[in-house]
Amino acid sequence: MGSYSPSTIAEVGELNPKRGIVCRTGTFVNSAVFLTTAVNIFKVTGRIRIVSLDIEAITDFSAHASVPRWQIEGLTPVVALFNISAASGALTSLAAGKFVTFAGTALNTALVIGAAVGIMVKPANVMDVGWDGGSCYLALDSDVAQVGATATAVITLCYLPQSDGAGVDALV
Amino acid sequence: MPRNLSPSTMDRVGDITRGVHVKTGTIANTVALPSAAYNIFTVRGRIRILGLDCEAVTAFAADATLLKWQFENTTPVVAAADISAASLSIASIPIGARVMWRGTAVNTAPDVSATQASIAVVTDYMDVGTTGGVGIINATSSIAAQTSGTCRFNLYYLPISDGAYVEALV
Repeated sequence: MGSYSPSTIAEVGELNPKRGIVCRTGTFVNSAVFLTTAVNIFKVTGRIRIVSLDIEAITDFSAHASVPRWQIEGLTPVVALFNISAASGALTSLAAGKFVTFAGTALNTALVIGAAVGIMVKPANVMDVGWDGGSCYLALDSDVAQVGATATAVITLCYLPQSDGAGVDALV
Repeated sequence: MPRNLSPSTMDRVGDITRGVHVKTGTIANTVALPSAAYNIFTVRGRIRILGLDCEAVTAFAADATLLKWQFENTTPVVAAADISAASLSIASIPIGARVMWRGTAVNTAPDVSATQASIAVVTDYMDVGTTGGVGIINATSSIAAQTSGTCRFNLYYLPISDGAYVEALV
């Protein structure tokens, strides 16, 4: 193995189409993000290809049956929220270290809840979102809110830019 | 046109196209494939596995050993879980042949090469590890212990969480 610094190892991943550029949220309290209405998680500039998009439980989730789904809301031009996935199964008491993965197959394909802690199987497909010259939000609508101050999570987006200057910023 | 690339440069090209490569030393099969779990890599943070295999450094014994891989979280502690099903028998595979993890699902069996030519290149991947956590990838052999031969394990990966990396344990 090359004697790489961690930052160099990270850069190696950016050049590989099985990962691409990683954009992650900070660790957030679930009660701020898993709400009954859409919450903007990422701002997408231009068009990107989602290689993987997942929710990782950092601590155990609360005992509330949140069923998140991913949506897009056009910012420039303005486009109303629409689904790019169906809802997951209930994330009631989801264990720390489990993943909830965007499958990418169709706009009505449900998110996949991982079976084991610390293991995430490759998403079935990739999906392109956004448009050249425009911008939009990737938003999460959970229908049922998580509550409390101890449940936390991180959301990770791995993507490849598809239009000139395309990129993503985490909003959380 | 031939390119005058140094071996170290060619290594770097490989890192970029197939992931960062980490490998174990050469291990006696009696140690690595004893019909039990054997820890081979420490995973710090969360990584994306692009390839994982067991390579015959010398020919394997005629014992009908099966091989699968597992991931076990050690921080926080969570019991080991399969990241593959068990392979077919790895008896008598020749020098240079490999048992290749497929990555399609946690119950997908590895391929066992009967020759030094790999049957099908792995195209899937799988993420293991957690943000801020530590885990171990182990090779779990079953049915029969290998009584001779030597092997090496290779892992090709990309980091997903900040500063994630892998170390060989042996």
